[in-house]
Amino acid sequence: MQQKSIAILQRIDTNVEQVLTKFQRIFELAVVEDKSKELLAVESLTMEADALSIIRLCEDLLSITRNLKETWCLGSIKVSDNKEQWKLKKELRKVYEQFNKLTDNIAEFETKQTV
Amino acid sequence: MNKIRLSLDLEIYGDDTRDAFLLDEDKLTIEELIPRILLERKLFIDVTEESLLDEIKAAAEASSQMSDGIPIVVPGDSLVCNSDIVGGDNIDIGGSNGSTATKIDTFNKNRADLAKNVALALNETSLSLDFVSLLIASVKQNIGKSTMSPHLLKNIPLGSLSSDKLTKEEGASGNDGNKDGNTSKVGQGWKYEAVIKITKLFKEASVKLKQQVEKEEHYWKMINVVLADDEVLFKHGKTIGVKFGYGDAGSIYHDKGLAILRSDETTGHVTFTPVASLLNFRVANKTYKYIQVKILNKIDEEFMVTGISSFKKTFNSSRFQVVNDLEKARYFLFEEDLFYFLTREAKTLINYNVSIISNKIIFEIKDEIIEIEAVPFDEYYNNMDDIDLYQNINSYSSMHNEKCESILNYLKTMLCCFYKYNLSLKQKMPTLFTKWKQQNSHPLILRPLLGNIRHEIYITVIKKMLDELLLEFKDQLLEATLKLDKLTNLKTFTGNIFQRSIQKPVSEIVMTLKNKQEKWMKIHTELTTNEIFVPYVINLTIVKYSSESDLNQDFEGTNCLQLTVNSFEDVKESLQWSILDFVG
Repeated sequence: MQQKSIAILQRIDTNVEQVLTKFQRIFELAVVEDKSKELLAVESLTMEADALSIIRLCEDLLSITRNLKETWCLGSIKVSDNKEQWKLKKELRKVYEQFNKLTDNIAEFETKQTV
Repeated sequence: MNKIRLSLDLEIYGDDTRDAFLLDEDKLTIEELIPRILLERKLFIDVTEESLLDEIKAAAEASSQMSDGIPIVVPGDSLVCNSDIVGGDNIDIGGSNGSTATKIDTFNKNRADLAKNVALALNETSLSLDFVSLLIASVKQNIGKSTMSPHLLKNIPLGSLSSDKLTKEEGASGNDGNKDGNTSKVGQGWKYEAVIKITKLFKEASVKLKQQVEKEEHYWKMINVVLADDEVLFKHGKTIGVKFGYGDAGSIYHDKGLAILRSDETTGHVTFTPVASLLNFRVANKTYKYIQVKILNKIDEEFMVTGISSFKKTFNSSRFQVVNDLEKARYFLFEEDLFYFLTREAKTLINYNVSIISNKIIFEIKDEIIEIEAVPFDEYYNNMDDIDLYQNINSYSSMHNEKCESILNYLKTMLCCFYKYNLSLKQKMPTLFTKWKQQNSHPLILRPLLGNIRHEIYITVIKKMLDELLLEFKDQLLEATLKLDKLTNLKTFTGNIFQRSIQKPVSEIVMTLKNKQEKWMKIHTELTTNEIFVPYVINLTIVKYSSESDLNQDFEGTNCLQLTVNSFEDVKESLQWSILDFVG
């Protein structure tokens, strides 16, 4: 597997893992019990901070998908199904004759007009 | 603030009351005295005999007043004190005539205290000034710097002290019983607030993310549409661009046909924006022009339009606007490319009745005019069904429409031929020669077009001339044949479909004559052209044979004439002379 793919997969994993951990921690912190006022204050702020980082991680996941799409669009080479038709001499000859006919059409009519 | 000058005359207190730290001025050595005088008087210039006498007199008066119990005010003396401090009750100088030891002691003590306090105040003031300066320095560096002491300035970095306002927590001093209950209640409130805030944040973020996902989806769908249309995408900075030009197909036109796919901020809708240069994203603002071919003929001594090529492109084959826009840009880029090379080529043909007037290339061929024009594309106008402005005026006006189309197709095909040639150069090993070729190649479009038309005319002219010659000598000849072989250069197919137009046309007319002496003569007239394609070049070869079998086998022939001429008259003369000689 390519280094880039591994990096992206790892990034997805860590992001998801962090989202889950932080979400879980929000619930843990939500318990009041007999904590001191200071601790409670800090905890409620931590909850908010965790929520913000969950949002940020989700946004990061979105940017990973964007990255993937971009890589797919720009990095892939299209293989055309059309086979080389021009290689056949017969076909080539046909076009050649058609082209000559076109040239004739242009040139021929002059003779009638001008002479 | 009032300043009061005090003078202390120590002599009146006697020697034993002397402060150990105060120096007896009368006992000072000259080395000590001079600096002291300097300190007091600053300069010796101001010290004159009279002034000193005055001073002494004044001092004597003052001492006599002191003894009367009146506080003294002596101008010009050294001790300067703040009136706030001195004005207090704590200094009781000469409150009474009785100069007791305790009073003097108190005075001395107070005086020492005063000196100490003054020093302390000074110290404190400068300390607080430093503090304030340092505090200010974090906000206004220059102001702080100018008032800070050098020591502080040297040792403490500016702005290292800051301040904030602390509000005293209300109700902090509750009794312990209530405290726990309050704390948990307050804590619950906080957590509740936090949870509500988190919910709000999540809701907002989810709406935002959903919108973003939709936008992204739309954007990539559109990109995919473009990609599915076999377009070449590239990344430039954060945007995705599309290369719709013919550069990779072999075009050397300066406009490479680059565009960026701009996405709408809110919807993610992709719009196609051609750019002139990738460096600064300058949007190319071009008027689309298409090429129109017109034929005019001389009818009743006046040139009239007898044919016009049509333009029926609508650019709405796809249901996606971006693809249609792209197709349109590509189509007109090709037209622009073609017209650019047409005008360049036309310049070289000015000697052959080709002229360029603004957006028109005009060919004059006898009674016919071919006009190639770049016409601005007007969407509205072109969408109208009937654009027969020129057509159907009379029966002549559309008789060459088909030919105009053919010419247009021919021009386009020839540009493709040039692309193909460039591409083949690109695929070759890059050497100086191929590079030179790349830089010096020009498309063959108008030259073969005009050349082929001319060639047909020349063939007719020369055929007619030879026919006339035969007619002239008909009676003196036993046998005469004339065989026209058009475009002999095309007899072998080289594999290049454009052979007809990239090779010089060559046609041959072979005349065989038999005179009354039963001798044979073969006149081989080869009509061709030079690299400009337009002028004619005639290679004339005349060979004599003694018998028919020799003629057929091309055996033992005598070359009579072999020359290249550029004029029909010369051909005629040469032939006339040769035949005359042959029959005579």
